[in-house]
Amino acid sequence: MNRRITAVTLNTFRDYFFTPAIITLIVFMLLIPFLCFNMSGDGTAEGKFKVFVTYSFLISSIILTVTNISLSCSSISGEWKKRTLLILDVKPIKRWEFILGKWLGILAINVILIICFLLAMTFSSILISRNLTRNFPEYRSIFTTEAELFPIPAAKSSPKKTSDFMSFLKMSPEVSEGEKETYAIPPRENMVWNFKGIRKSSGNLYLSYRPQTSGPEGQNIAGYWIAGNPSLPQPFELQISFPKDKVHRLQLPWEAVSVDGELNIAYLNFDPANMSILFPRSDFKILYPRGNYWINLLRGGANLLMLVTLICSVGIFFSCIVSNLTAILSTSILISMSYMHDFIEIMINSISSQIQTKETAGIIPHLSYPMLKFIAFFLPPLDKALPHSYIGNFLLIPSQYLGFLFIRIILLGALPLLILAIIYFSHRELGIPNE
Amino acid sequence: MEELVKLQEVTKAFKDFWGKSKSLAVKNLSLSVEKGEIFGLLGPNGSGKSTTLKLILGLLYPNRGRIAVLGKPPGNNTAKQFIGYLPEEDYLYSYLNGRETLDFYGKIFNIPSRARRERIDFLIDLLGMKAYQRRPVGEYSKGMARRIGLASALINDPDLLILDEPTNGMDPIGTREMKNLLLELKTKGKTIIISTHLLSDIESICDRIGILYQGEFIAIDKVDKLLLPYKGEHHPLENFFIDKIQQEREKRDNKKKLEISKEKEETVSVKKSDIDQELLNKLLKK
Ligand SMILES: Nc1ncnc2c1ncn2[C@@H]1O[C@H](COP(=O)(O)OP(=O)(O)O)[C@@H](O)[C@H]1O
Ligand SMILES: [Mg+2]
Repeated sequence: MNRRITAVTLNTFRDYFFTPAIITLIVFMLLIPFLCFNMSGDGTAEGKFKVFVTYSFLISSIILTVTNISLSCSSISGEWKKRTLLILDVKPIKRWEFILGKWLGILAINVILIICFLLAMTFSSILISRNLTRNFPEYRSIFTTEAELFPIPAAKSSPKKTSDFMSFLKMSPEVSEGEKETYAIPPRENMVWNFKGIRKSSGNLYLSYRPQTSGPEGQNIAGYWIAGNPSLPQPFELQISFPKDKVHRLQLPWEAVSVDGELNIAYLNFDPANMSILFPRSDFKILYPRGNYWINLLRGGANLLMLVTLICSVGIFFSCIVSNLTAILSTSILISMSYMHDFIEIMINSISSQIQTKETAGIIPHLSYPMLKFIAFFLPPLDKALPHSYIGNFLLIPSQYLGFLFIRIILLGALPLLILAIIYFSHRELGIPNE
Repeated sequence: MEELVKLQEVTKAFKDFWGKSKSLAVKNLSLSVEKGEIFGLLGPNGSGKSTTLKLILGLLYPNRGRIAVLGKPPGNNTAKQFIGYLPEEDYLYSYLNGRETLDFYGKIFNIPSRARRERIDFLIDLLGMKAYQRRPVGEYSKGMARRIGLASALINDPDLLILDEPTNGMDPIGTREMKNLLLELKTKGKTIIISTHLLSDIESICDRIGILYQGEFIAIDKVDKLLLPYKGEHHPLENFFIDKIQQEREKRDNKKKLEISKEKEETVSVKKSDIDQELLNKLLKK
């Protein structure tokens, strides 16, 4: 790499990186996702997610773009104001090297800001997926990977005394029953299901089912479950009541599963109202998380969020590059037209928040306004880039963002060349002091 | 002898935004500096010394005339490789320390890191900056800043050194050291152009001097030749300088008076350019 360019890059980086403004910005970048994470939206999981993604990207990209413009402009105009540009201009550094070095220096600052943002975003993604799995059970399957095992029904027989339970568990599967749409158990009868291939994991083991009866609405069903495997001396008995027609999860002890991953489940219909009970087959399954809980969180929901984050950050990053380039180059032209230096001052004064009131003559303020407008034209249209979307079409966000970016990059493709040409052929005198 | 710097009838006027002329800083200036020479650019404040140097460096563009530096037009990148410049004020990156400043300019000259380190050590030693080389230059006193400025001008071991009021803000010890340094550089065959209004700076070190007054040379020659009539006096250069400036001032006042009287008496129909200045002065003195 060119030594001159690296020197300017490093110098620019040092000029800005250790300033309080940039340190504050870094803290901001770290805080934004967490601030957005705490907003609950409209109370639903979708709302929470929407608010989190929209606000964190919106706020961070606004901050990054504004910072970028003021940094890029002041990186050159600062050297002009300090007159160090005068010394640099008599040294054998080409103008494009200087501009490229400046641009890379500001870019390096952006990279650091974006990395901070990404880190914070990753952490808050994990937090949000945890929060969603906890508070919204219907999103559990989105944010954690669960193993779903469907049973092979074993056999039917008349219910006996508790001491006979062992015999259920030793029954061999009856494959033909497995094709049924629903498992129907008449009163005082029972059914046995057999599951194979269960792998032990650190999470909980559940039996998930949706019971149906012809009984009145709102009345709970009293059920009797037995779980175990042939190698167990004694099966586990679980007597519970559950609402009808709702998915219910019954936590089972891991000890009920044999070493080769076999589990027998029996249901005894002891309903006092003497009604048959039905279990639709599609809702009758064994659920347990595969692997470590935290890893699952990461793998499931957080992965999804991180993907969005990454794509969007690339988008923001590119838009930073573009706005950065525009700002630096447009400042360079202004500098190259040395008579117009008041002009830059106005531009920078109005963009950066440092308000220095200075009287300027006549036509100049009127000229700076369209210039500001012109730069504003190339900023990312953030309100459009981050539309209100929810989990279902989350991919729309980055794709739209990238789309807008693409248009901007195309629009700007020819501009840098034009500007460089202007800089090269323009008449500029750096030796004129700015009084 | 090889001419390193050559100015031919250069004129520089400063204009405002609308192109209206603000001031005429340099008028029809011709100058050539040869290799191995120390040239002193003298003149009162505002006489156009800094402007002349900036024209040579390509920081300003002349309105008329031609300039060649090391055989190239000013601002040429190859020529810049061999030029060192110390501006009249110190323009430094306040967040860098002395060493880093020199390192930065060393990189700009594309000097490899090892050679750069050796060069920086050498310069720090040469200019006696060892004690404060690791302090941020923003905290430097004027004399220290001047030294770091000079060191960064010397980082590339330039053939042509352009110094604008180098002893500005330096203590007598620093001034003496500077003089010795310049003489040492001269023995190495370097060419130096030095501008100042402090005559003690360049007495005894310059080969040639030019006295600028309102953008024009009113005297330019070898030092011994110019000071010949003042031999034996206590401060020959000072006396010569003051005499010369006063003469010029009177001359110009008279010219103005003449122009005014010319306007009054319309019978005299002589053009300004037709007047023989020398003759007129002699007549007026009598
Ligand atoms: N940017 C400028 N605009 C207008 N006039 C200037 C400018 N720079 C210098 N001048 C004028 O040019 C003349 C020469 O200035 P300068 O070369 O700085 O003098 P000095 O001999 O003190 O270094 C002065 O009259 C000064 O007012
Ligand atoms: Mg000056």
